[in-house]
Amino acid sequence: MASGYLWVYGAPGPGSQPAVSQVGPVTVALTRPIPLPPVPPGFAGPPVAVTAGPGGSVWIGSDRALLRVSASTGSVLARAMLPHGLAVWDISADTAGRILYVSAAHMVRGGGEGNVMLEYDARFGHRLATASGGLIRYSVAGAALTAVPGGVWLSFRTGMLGLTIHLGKKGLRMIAPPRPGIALRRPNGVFHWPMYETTAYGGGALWVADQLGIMACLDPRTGRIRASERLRQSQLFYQIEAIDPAARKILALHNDDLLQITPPRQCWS
Amino acid sequence: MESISGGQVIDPAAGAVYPLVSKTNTSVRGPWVLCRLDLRTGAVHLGRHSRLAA
Repeated sequence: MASGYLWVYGAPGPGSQPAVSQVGPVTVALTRPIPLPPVPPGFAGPPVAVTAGPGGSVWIGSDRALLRVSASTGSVLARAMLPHGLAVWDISADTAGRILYVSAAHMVRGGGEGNVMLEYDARFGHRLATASGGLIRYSVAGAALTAVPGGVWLSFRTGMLGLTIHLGKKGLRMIAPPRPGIALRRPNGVFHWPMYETTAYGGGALWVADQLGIMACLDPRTGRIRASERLRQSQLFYQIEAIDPAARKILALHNDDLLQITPPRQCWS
Repeated sequence: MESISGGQVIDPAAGAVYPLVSKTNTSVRGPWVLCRLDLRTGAVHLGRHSRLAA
């Protein structure tokens, strides 16, 4: 869901042009298909990524292409291309609509390896910064992104373990916590974890949940943990599906059940 | 019989869940149908599947 519409994508059949379907949320009817640039034959890179852009638009990332599309007309308002050899893994734009963050993987033998972070002007698509050093180089593939005011949070696997780190806007410099030495510490917290961690932003907080059962809310600008609790292994979920600031609830899926979680009051800013 | 593919969106402001479901469940391979499930009433509105890029 972005800019008032659902955006549905499936892998194209052989020889057919990839497209994203724009769907109205009330009628659940197709509004229009959004054609995407062709991908190389046998492309096995990451799937298409969509995020809300400024002024009622969405950004769509597919292979090397980034398209800013008007949700009201379907027209392409801006476009950008990643450097050769990279493919879009995930995208996230800040709520002010100024910065588009992109994680990209190196395409090697048809698959994605490593991670490069890129920062773009969210209105016109000009590239502002690129980063691939520091802890980013430990990523085995692209990172999942959550843009927040002042920067972006990245979560990526380093193998069977993974890291969640914070980069600032205007240059993608790392913001502590966590500090660069986090990868050397035990993987038992919100910044260094085993297997997976999911992040989301809403209600003035960064929300994290991981395979350890840690669920926490953080100050999105400083990384300070406001509250944390430990879920039972039988309660684990892989993704935070939605944040409802009005009802002060977090929604997640566990197997086929919809979970409604009530975080502590101090989580909400 | 329909089967949830694992893809879904929850919109708490609209009080709706949008699961993408397969019309087949042996195996789950499509054709795909995007649904709107009202969280308050449980009403299900089926979208069209034939023109979705999924």
